[in-house]
Amino acid sequence: MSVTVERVKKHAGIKKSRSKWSKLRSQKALMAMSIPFVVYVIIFAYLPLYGWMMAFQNYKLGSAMLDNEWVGLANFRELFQDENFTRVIRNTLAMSLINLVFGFVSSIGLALMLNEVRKIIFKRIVQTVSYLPHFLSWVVAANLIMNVLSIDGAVNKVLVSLHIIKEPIMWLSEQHYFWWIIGASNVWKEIGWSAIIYLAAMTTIDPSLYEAASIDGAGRFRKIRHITLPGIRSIIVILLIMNIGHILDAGFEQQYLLQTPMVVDYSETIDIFVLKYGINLSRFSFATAAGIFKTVISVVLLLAANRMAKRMGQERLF
Amino acid sequence: MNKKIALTWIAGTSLALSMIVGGCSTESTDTAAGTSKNENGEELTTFSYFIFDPGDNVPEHTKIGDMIEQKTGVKIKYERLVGEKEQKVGVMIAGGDYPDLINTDQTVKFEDANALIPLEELIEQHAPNIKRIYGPYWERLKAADGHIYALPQVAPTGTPIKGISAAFWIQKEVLKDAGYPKIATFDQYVDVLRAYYKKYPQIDGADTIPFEILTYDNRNFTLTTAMQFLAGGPNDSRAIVDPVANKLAFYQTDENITKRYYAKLHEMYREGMIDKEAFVMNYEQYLAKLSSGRVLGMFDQKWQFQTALDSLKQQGKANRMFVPLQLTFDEGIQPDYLDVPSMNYNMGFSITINAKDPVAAIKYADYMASEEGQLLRNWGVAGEDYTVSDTGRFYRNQEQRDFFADPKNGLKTTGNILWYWPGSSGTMVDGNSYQQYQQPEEIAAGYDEMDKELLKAYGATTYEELFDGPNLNRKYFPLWSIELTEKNKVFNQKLNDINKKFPPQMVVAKNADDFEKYWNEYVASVEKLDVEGWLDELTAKVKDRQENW
Amino acid sequence: MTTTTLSRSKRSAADLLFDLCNTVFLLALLVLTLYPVLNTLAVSFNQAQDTVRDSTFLWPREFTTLNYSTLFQDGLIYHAFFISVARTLLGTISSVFCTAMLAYTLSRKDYVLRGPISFIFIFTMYFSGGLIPTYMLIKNLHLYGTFWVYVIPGLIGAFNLIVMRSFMEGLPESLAESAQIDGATHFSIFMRIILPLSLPVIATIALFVAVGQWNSWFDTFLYNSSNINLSTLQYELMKKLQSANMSVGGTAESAFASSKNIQANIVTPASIRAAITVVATVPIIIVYPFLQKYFVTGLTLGGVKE
Repeated sequence: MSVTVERVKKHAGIKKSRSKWSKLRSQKALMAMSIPFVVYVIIFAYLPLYGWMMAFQNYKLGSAMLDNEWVGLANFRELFQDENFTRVIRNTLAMSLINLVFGFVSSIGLALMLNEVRKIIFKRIVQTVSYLPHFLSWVVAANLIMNVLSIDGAVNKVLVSLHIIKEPIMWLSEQHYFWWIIGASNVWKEIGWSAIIYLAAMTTIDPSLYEAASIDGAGRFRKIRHITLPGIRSIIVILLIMNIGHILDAGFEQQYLLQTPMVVDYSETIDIFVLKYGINLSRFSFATAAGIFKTVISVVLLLAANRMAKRMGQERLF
Repeated sequence: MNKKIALTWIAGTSLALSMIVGGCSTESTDTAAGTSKNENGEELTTFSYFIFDPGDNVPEHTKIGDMIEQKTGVKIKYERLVGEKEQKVGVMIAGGDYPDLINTDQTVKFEDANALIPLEELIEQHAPNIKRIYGPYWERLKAADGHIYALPQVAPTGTPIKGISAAFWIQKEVLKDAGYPKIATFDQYVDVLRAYYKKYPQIDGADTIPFEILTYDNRNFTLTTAMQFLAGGPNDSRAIVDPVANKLAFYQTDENITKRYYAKLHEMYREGMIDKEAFVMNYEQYLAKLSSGRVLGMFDQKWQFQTALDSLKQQGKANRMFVPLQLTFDEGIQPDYLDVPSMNYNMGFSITINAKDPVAAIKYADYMASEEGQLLRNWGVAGEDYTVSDTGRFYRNQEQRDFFADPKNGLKTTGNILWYWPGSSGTMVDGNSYQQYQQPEEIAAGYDEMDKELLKAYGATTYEELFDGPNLNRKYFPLWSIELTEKNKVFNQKLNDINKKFPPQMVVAKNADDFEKYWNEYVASVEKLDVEGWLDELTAKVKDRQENW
Repeated sequence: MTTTTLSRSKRSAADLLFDLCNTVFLLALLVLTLYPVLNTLAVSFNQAQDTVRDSTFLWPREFTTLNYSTLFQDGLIYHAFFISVARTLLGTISSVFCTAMLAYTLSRKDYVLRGPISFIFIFTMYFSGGLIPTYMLIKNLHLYGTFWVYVIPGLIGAFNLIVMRSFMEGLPESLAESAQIDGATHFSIFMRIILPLSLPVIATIALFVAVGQWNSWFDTFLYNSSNINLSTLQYELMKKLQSANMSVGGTAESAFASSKNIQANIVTPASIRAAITVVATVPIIIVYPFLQKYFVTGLTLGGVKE
């Protein structure tokens, strides 16, 4: 059986004439393989959503859900009216975007570079080592980062000895560096781990394409641009859409651990805010309201990104 | 094929279900309270006891634990907290999965959920020892509904203990170099630090840090509440209480207290006396700096930097270790550093509604509170774990001290858990301390030559003697233990946030004008909050404690 | 590899320059990511109080295995290790299999329910009912206090599902079609054609799931904390860490005394954390090379067709 890699091969079926129902009846086998999982996800993910009622109540721990005082939108009002709210949203969006862009570019870049390495041993070593920081907890990582960025830390020493800066800089006391420090440390910690998925995708590219391109005299960059990147395009688009839905998840631990009193205006994310004013004070209703707010924004962004991908003729989620 | 898949599913699901059910039944016999047998085959009543503090797994058998089991016929299955306390409390209450006994500082939440049983009658009828120890504090133990639900860890008995925690600390070497001067005010303290700094700009090849400040996360209270002590207040945080006139003063925006302190720090910072990195380092970096031996002084609570002291000790830099000072702004102010011996109410030992035999539970707790029980728990077995002198004083000989210096031995002996039962602090009738580590002989045994020389110069035998006793008029003490309404808890959190941001800016301000600017911004931000509402609630609750306790 | 088919003589100067830059860059990355790993390893073998003084080094200054022996001092940890291995194996196999099967149905472009089912799963990535409702659900399903609570709730991850689906969509449809013409059922197409072809993505997802399973401790905390027989390694390690945190603050002796017996046997949270990181990571480092071959050298389609 010969294999041709034609991505946009239309499925030739007898479709239009039949109604969806009759078609569905012919797909019993597919249904048997998928419906049980739908039941599963409804039980495990959707049933607990009854907890969202808390957001409209003044929930008291230990009481039955329906016994609580209903307060309408009071929790949401308190959330939106908090003077810190716009600030934490700004910080969340900024760090999230930085993480998104840096994260995608760096991990795809690493995957491409690894794919070009000829020596298998070197490739394996680099890959194994580069994904290890993923397993350090943020507590360990944050301590290392703070040491490296301290006055007599490695970064200052290198920059001073190269005469790029005259005096050591206290990196973590400058508000405007904070977002970028978070972005850079995320790249450092996750670059190897995130690259794995792209490397897996690259294995599906038909080697004959490279051979044909070589015969045509294509250089390395052209092959990357015209074969490798298109080969992993669909996974890139899919991950991008999913991540756009996560734009309000800028992380929590890394900011919490790396922030200093000098940069609090730029370091607090919505998750830190909710922890401090919700969960830590046992205000479950307030925390739930914040969770619902995040979900609504996520779903709107997700749908928008998906529609945009559809319009641009790209891969889409659903 | 469809049938095949369907069959696979049914088989798979039923298999899973059977295993779930199987798993469930083993679990229920495993955790429920009931009876088990001891080595002699006698029936033992078993209670599960959840401790809301993290710690090592308690071994099935410990030396003291087994002795108590023999005497009481009761076995305790301990479980300790792992993970976040709030979450554990949340799911425990939501699911109603209470162990028989709990020990927590979240008692109020369990009370609200009707999870605890009232203890007064049980104690009156079955627990004479508990009644004797906690009797003097009976009214204070009562919750809002008039019942007693929790017994705090230890109740003060006999001569109260003196324990130093919050203090301005100074290197022994600095005091020695200055010829052991009398230091009473913050200004004098700074002068001594400055003189040493001028004389020795470097220690062990690294720059000397005359004054260090810990500001990481919630530990920044070492910056934002230190001034209350200088103004003569105790460890109350955020308000200074006049117990006689029953007045509370919010000092965080007070120009004569808080501004004065920050202004002095600002001056010191400009002079280079405060670590440049004080506001950008985390807790571990702070400990590393203290451990390097080049920090001359700081304000802190002892429990926060114990690790650094251990490290200095181990490096052989005992002369770089810190000793405490009780400083004030001016000589005329009476220092008030030591805590009034008291209990933290609304916390401690409770019996839950799931306990099948509350009478047996309170009887067991009563044994733990008896003189015999307390001696076993705190000191161990005479002759084995401690020694009794001819005059009846308890102490540990060097061999015993070395043995218990290894925490693993403590684990084998008591499980490091027996502290979580009702009992006493202070002294017994014979003058010995209930707690082994509070015994003056044991404290003095830890001193080296330098300590002795230092103490001799100041005319004392222990550091505790250098501190004035607590102000016993403060019956309400401490302020921070008062449970606030949700609104004022939010106030506290907001003030935390403001306190995180502005004070560091004031200290590092470029000049006096900038300092002024930040101070004004700070005051303006604080005044946006409902300070009055917060003070009103506290004032009412302090008044209530002063009158009824 | 793809480029090895090029004959050496054809390599141009630009090609060499490319390789040089690439190698230099990857070496730099190697150094940046190797440092924290070596440092953690060194800290885990260094005496705790010495680490407090200065934690930046690559080799233990005062060698000790105390940090590790503290972790392994009680026998429970070996049983917990066994439970961790069991949950990782069972959890990974069942999750990967179920996810792949569902992904296969969703990768069929003519499947009518493809859109709705995808949406139902994708949506779950963006909400949560919250801690307490989830806890109550697990209790009501009688999963509480059982081993199955480690396997069943995490059976299908939406992210993994979508990645697998996307990969399977990229496989040539002609394969499945011709099998279908030969009368094969969907299930056998999935088992005999799609699964083997999807090994790279299966290895990837298996790695993700296995790491998640291995590192998870929160479900033990919520559902099995009082059931010591089902405690997991990560949960026991978590206990050790918190206990170290506690004993640092709780040392009851007089603080300022410089007693003679040096307490070299006291561990600190930082050192315990380093040892825990090593213990938790080593198994993954051992398993990784076996999975790595699937996504590094690749199992190309060309290779399968022979």
